[in-house]
Amino acid sequence: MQTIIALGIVGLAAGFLLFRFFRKDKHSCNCGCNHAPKPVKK
Amino acid sequence: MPSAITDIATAPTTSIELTYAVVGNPNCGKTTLFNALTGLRQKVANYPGVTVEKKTGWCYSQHGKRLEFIDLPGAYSLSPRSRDESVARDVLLGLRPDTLKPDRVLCVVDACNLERNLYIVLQILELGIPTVVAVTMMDLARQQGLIIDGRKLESALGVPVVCCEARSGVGIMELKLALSMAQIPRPKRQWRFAPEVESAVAELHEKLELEYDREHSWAEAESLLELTDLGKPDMAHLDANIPVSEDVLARWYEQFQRDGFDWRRNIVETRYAFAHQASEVATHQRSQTLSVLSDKIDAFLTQPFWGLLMLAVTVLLIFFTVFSVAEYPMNWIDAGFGALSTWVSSVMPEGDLRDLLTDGVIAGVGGVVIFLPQILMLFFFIAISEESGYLARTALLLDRFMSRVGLHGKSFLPMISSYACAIPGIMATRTIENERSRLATILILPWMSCSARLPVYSLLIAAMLPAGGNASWMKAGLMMSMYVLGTSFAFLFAWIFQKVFSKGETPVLVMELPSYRLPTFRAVFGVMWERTVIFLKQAGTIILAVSIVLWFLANYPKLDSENSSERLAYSYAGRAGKLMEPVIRPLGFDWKIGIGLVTSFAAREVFVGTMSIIHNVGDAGDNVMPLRDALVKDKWPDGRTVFTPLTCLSLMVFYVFAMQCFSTLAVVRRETNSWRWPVFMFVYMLGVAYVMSLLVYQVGRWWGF
Repeated sequence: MQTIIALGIVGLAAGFLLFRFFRKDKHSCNCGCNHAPKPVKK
Repeated sequence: MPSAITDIATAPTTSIELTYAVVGNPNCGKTTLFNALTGLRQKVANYPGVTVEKKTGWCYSQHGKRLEFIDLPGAYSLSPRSRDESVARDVLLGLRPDTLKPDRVLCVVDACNLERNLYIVLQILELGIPTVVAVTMMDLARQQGLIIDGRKLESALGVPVVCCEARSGVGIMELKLALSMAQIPRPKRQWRFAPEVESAVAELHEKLELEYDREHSWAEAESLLELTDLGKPDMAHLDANIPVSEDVLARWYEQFQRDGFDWRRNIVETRYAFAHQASEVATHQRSQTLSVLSDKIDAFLTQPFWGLLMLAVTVLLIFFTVFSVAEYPMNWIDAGFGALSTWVSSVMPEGDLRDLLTDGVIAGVGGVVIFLPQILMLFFFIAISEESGYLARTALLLDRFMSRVGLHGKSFLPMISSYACAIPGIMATRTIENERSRLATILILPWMSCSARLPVYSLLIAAMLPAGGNASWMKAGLMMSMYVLGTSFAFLFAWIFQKVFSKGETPVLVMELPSYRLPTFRAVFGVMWERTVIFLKQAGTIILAVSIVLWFLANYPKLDSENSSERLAYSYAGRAGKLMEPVIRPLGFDWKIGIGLVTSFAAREVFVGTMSIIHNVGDAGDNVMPLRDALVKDKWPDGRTVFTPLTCLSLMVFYVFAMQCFSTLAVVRRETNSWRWPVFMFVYMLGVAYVMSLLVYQVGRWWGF
């Protein structure tokens, strides 16, 4: 059981890293403020 | 001083408006004076095509004529460094079709900084446009013990000068009288440049006058502007409106380069020399003792020798505090995570999840949080020096040295920060406005040996040098040489990057030195809190995830063996180490070192932990000696010692240069908003690390070590 949970956590960590690596950052300005644009409310 | 009045510009007869362009340095009181003159009769718009505010207003002259004023953006000179300055210059030269060509100029100068403010006045006088000079902030100047004699300044410049206080309205009536004058003397340049510059100006002048039909006096001023901007990068977008005599300029540029003549410096220095002369004539210092405290401190802190000495002492103190005082909270955090790990081990049954929590999660998060005291202390000092105004002085002081390798003066503090950790250093580069300088600084910062390298250096130096004799001095010398090596290469590559990116000279550092003031608690701790949140949130999440993944790679696939070293060799990480051994062997490294190099990506100090696991000696965090002994005894299959002094040196050199920090790469990605630069950084640093390490090992072997 411990092994399954541990491997699940490893999978999540790897997924998180892959997500960080491949995610498209919509923040276009290069000012360093790192403010992501707010989602537009419909 | 010769008279500057050559001919008289007569104002148009009544009922025809006069247009004044209001010009001056940023923060010289120009807008306050504009408001005092025009009151509410203002109109604000934008210059078409650029986001530069266009403000116009008007008032009645003493003779009932309407005087129009165009409040131009603040500018230090007519050689534009920004869009604002470019607009100011174009309006003055009548090059903007959307703006009325000014008939006259109202130059606003700050009485407290007369000499510096006069620079742009001289450039305007070169244009030959009828000009009135308003000296503002006379009240502040009086407080500083300065008395400005308007008449003397008037005779020095050759144009009407009025002293006033825009805030209280003192002198505004006199100014309106001067502005209403029907006749205002047309100035002529009284300062002479070097003969080479004068010859170039004469030729350009003639060409502009004949080919582009420019007005006589303006053609000369435009020639000077063209010459000043000659060879500067990124001027095309700012100079689009100026008629350019490319062929003549190219010829003179070539000749100046060939003769090694710094024409730009000559032009600037000549103007400043005249500004200094005029300012000296017109200013009377009532009493030296009345000079403000800021100036007194500046006289000491910005002086090349004492300023640098003071800076060195300050930096030494910051270093000492960061490395010594931060050690206590770091030990507490370490002990806290150690206790947590022991507690988890005691309450959980043996198994993978427990190992993951203790060796992966707790060790991973602890590895980051342990550096928090250092980060906080650094930002505490950064905030204090920034708030007190000292940071601006250090940037100014260091600019002359840094500019030799193409680095901006403001790169200094990020470089200092990076001795603790490259991440806050990279974040601190935000103070550098010039994007290229900022990028060049970011790309070299990881070569400032960070504190995470300290455990690695300590272990390898201990393995290299036996205790006793002069070992302590040699160890200290070796440790310092690693810092010097990294820093020297950082300077070398900064120079290369600046050559590649900027393709021109280092941008000149222009900054307003703020008065010294006591830092506020709110500002300093606000900065520290903000940095704490950013650091833990950004770096912590990535290190945590990488630690978990590395734990998996170092433990799977499992091998049923009691020997942890064998288990490791069987794991994915071990196999990767074996796989990379042929590549790293020329550097003197075996597969076990290879694993250490890979695991170091989580954090460099993980190398020490990895070595201790591989060599089966337990945690070496608190006690390096047993691990040192194990390293010394480690052998190649043919019986040779792995950790020879040469291998240790080669490995240290590798750690100086290699980009083995995923968190740094992630922060670089965030700060540059692209993966391109972190990838480039990783590749070039790894390349340099490999080549340098190879050189050290192979040359060392050749010499018989």
